[in-house]
Amino acid sequence: MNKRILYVFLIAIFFLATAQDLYAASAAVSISPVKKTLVLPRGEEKEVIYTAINNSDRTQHVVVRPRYWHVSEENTGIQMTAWLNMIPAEFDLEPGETRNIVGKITVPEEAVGELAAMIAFTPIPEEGQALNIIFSVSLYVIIRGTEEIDCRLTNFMIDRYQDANSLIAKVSLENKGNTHITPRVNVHVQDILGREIKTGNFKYGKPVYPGTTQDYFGEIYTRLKPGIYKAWVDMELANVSSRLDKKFYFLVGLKNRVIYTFFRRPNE
Amino acid sequence: MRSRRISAKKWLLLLAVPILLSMLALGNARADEFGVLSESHLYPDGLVLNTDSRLEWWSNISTSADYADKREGKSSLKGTVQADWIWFGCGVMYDQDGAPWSAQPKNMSAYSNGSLKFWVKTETDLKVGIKDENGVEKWVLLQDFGIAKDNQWRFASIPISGNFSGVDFSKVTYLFMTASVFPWTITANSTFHFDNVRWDTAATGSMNSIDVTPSAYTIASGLPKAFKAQGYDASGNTVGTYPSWTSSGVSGSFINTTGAITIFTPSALSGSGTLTATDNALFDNASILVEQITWNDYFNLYGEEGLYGSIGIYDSDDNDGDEDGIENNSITLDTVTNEHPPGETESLKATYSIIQKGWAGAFIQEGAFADTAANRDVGAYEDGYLHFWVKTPVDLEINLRSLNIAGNNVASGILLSEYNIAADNSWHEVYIALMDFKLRDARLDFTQMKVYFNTAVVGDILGGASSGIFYLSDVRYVRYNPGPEAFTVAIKRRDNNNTEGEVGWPSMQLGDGWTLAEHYLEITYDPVETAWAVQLYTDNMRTGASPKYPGSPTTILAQQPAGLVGELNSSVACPMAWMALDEVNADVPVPIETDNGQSPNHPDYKIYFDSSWGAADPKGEWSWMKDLSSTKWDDKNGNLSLDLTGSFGGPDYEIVSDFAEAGNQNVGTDDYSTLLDMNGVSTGWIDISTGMKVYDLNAGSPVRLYLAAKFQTARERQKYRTNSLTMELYHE
Repeated sequence: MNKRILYVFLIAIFFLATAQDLYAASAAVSISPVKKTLVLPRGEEKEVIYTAINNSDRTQHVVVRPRYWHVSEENTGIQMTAWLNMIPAEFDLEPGETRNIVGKITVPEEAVGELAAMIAFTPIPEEGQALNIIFSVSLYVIIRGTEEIDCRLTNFMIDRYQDANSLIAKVSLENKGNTHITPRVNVHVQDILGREIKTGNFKYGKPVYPGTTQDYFGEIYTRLKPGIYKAWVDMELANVSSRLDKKFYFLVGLKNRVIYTFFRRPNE
Repeated sequence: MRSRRISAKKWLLLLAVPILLSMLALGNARADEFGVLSESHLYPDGLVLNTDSRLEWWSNISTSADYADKREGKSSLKGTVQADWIWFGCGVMYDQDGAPWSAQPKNMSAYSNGSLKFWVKTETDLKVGIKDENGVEKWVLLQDFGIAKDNQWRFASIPISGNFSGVDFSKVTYLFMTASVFPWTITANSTFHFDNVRWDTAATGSMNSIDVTPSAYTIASGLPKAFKAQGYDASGNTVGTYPSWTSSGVSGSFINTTGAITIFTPSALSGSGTLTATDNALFDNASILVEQITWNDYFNLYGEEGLYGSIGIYDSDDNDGDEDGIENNSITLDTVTNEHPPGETESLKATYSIIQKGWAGAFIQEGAFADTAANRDVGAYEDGYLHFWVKTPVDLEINLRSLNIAGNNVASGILLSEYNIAADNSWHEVYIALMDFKLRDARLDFTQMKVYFNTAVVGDILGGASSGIFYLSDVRYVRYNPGPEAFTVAIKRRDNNNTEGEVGWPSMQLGDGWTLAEHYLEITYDPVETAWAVQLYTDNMRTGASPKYPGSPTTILAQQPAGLVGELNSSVACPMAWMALDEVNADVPVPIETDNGQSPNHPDYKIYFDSSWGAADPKGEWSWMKDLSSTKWDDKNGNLSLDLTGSFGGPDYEIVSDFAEAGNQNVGTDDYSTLLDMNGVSTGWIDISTGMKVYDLNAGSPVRLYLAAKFQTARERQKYRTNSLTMELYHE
C-alpha cells in the first residue's frame, strides 16, 4: 500500500508576547492584592481597591472579568452582578503605569455565609501572540451574622519521608461551615511526656472550602528512636480568628518508620 | 518597566562590586569596640544592663534614662545630684551571673592600649574611672580632656594607657565609673548625661571624616527614611558625630535637622537630589532618588487574612527594677471588630498596665514559641517597609529581631514619636523602612528573621506608670516586586535545551498518533504568601482566536475545540496533552491512551493515559488539554441517553461544561487543568481518599511543561495552530 505522505506544515503555534524579549513571556499585568477577605453585614456597601501594574514594554488593554468561585447552595440564586461591580471593566495601561480598579461590593440581603469571586485580569493578546498569561485574584465576602465556622480534623497521618531523617505528616481538615477557612497548620512532635522534639511547619495559604476536605502536608526534620511519641496538631484558622488543636500518639520502629498512628475519627 | 536577564559573568561582576564595598565598609564599622552603656554595641560586643551588668549609684544621686536628650540610640544616662556638698558617684558593674550586686571580673586586656569613649554633657565637675577585682581604681578629671561643665554635649576619647595604668585589665569589675570632684562645687539638682560609653582597642584621634549610610537610596514619595552619620578619625576609628542635615534637589522635610540619625520625608513625587550631613566643616552626602512606588508584594503578619506565625505577649515582672517578685505589669490581646482603621474590618486590641520601671509588649514571630530555631528568609523585603495602623494613647517602641540576635539584646528599637506618629488615640497609618531598623542594629539579618514585629509600652519612656489600650491593624511587610521575574515562561528545545521563540512539531505522516512537541515550556514563579496555582487551557472559540474553532460543543459532543485548529479548515482540531515535571527529562514518552472499559457510547466512558513512569518512579503524568469551551456528557437522569431538553446550562440539558469541577459553579478554575500550585507540580495522580489531585514533586521552580498532540484527526493537509494557549495564574 502506498503510504500517502501528509505534509502537515507544522507547526509554529506559540509566538510569544514581545518582540524584544523573544524568548520569555511573563505576566504583562500583575495585580495586588492577590487575595482579599472582608467581613460585611447584609446591605453593607464597600469598595475594594486593586492596583494593576503593566510590567511589559507595551500598552496593554486589560479586560476585568469576575467569575463565580465556590458558590454555596444557598447563594446559587445570587448573580455576580448583584453584589460585585468592577470599575472600569476594561482599561488601557501604558508601560510601567499603575492604576487602581475599584470593586464595588453591595452585600445582598439574601446572602448567606460567604460570597466569593475569582477576578480575572486578562490582557488582550496582540496579533501573532499565542501564549496568553492571565492574572486572577480572589475576593471573599463573609456575611457577618450568617457565618458558620465548623471545621474538624478528619484524618492524621505521619510516616517516614524519603529517608530516615525526616517524617511527613498529613492533616486532613473538613469544612462543614459556610465560609472558607485558611488554616495555619503546625505539627509538634513531642515525647510521651509532652516535651517538644520538633515542629513541622506547613505551607500556608491553601483554603478549605465549605463542604470540602483539604489535605495539608508538611515535612518534619527529625529522626526518632523507637518508641511512642505524641503529635500535637495545632491549627490556627487564620481568617476567622479561631483555633483547632488535637493530640495523637504514634509508634515509631527502627529507622524512623512509623508503625502505627492512634487516630480516632470524629464520628467513630 | 522590564527586567532584563543578565549573563552569569555580568552577575559576578555586579556582585563583586558591592562585596568589595562592603568589605571596605566593614573596615570602617570595626568590631573592636565594646559597649558599656551603649545601644549600638551590645552582646557579644558589649554589656546589657540588668542582664550581664548593673548600674550602681553611690550617695546623693538619682539616675534615669533620658529619652529626649541623647546622642545615640533611644536614651542616655542622666544623673541628677540630690544635695549640695555631698559626694556622689555611680558605675557600671560587670555582673554576669545574675546574683544581686556581685561583681565579677571581665578580661579587658585587649583594650589596655585603646581608649574609653563616650558622649557627655554636665553641669558639675566630674571624673571617670575604672576599677579592678583587687579594688584598684583609677580616675581622670573630665576637665583635663576639655570637657567643660557648660551642659553642652561633647565627645570624649580618653586613652587608657597612662590614664588608667595600674588597673589589672584582665580583671575589670567596674568598666565605667563617674563621680564628683570637689565637694564645694556640688550643687543640688545639677545634672549630667552620658551616652554610648564604650571601650575601643585603638586610641582614637580627632574626627577626620563623616560617612552617611545609606550612601544612595530610592525613597518612596511621601514616606520617611532614616539616614545615619558616623564620624571617623584618620585611622578609621569611630568618633561620635552629631551633624546638621540639609537637602538639595528634592523637596521634603526632616523630622530632626541635627543628630547622628535623621529622618527625611520627600514631598516631591519624583526627582533626585542629595542629603548632606555637616559637622565642623566635615560633610558627606547621600544620593536619593524619589519615586512613586506602588507596593505589589506583601508579607502579611496580622490583618484580615489572619495572623502569620505565632503571636505572643510579655512583660517585665520580676525584671522591672524593683525585684519584688510582684506582677506589676500586664498585657492582654484580643481581636476586635468594633474598632478598626479605615478600610479594615478588625484590629488587635492590647490592654496594658505597667509601673514606671516596667514594660509590656506583644510580638509576632516565626514558628511556635518552643521552636527556638524557626526562622524565615524575608530578605526580599529588606528594601521594603514595615506597614501598620496604630491607635494609641502612649508612645510605643517597635523593634525586630533576627535569629542571630538574642532576645535580651535587641538594639533595633524605634519609637513612634521618632517618626512623628502622634500618641493621640487616633488611627495613624505607619510606614517604617525595614532598613531603618538595620541602621540601628547592623546585626539584623532579614534572611533569618525570628521576630517580625515587636511593640511595647515602656515605663521609662513614658515617664511613669501607665495603663490603657492601644490597637494595631494591617501589620505587614510591603515591597515593590519588579514583576516580570515573578512569572515567566521560556520555550526550550527538547534535544539541546536551547531557548527558542516558538513551539513546533516535526513533519507528520497521515495517521500519526500522539507526537511530542520538539519544545517544552520552562516556567518560573516566585510566589507570594498566598495560595496560588497555574492552570493551562486553550480558548479557541474566543473573539480574536486564530484560527477560531467554528464548531458547537454545546450541542454536538463530537465537536471539541481543545488543542490545535486547522488553519484552512478550522473545523478540524487535533487534541493536545500536557505533562508537568520538576526536571528536564530527555526520555519523556508519548502519551498512551487507555479507556476504562466502558462502551464508547456510555456516559461513563473515559479515556485516560497510561502511567508513563509507574508507581516506582512517580513523576508527572499526561493530562488532556482542555479548552474553556470544552464540554462533556452528564447523564443527569441516568437513562444512558443524551438528552438535550432546554438549552445549555439548563437543569435538564445533558451537555455541560467540562472546564470546572462538575456539579458546582466553581467556573473560575479547573483542578484537572491546574499544572502547578503552592504544594508542587501536578502529578496526574488522584488521592483516592479525598478525590483530589496530588501536587507533589519538587515545588521549587522552574517547572517544565511537555506537550504532545494527536494528529490522527488531522485529515487535511494544512497547518494546525492555536493562538489561544492560556496560562492563568490564580490566587486563592
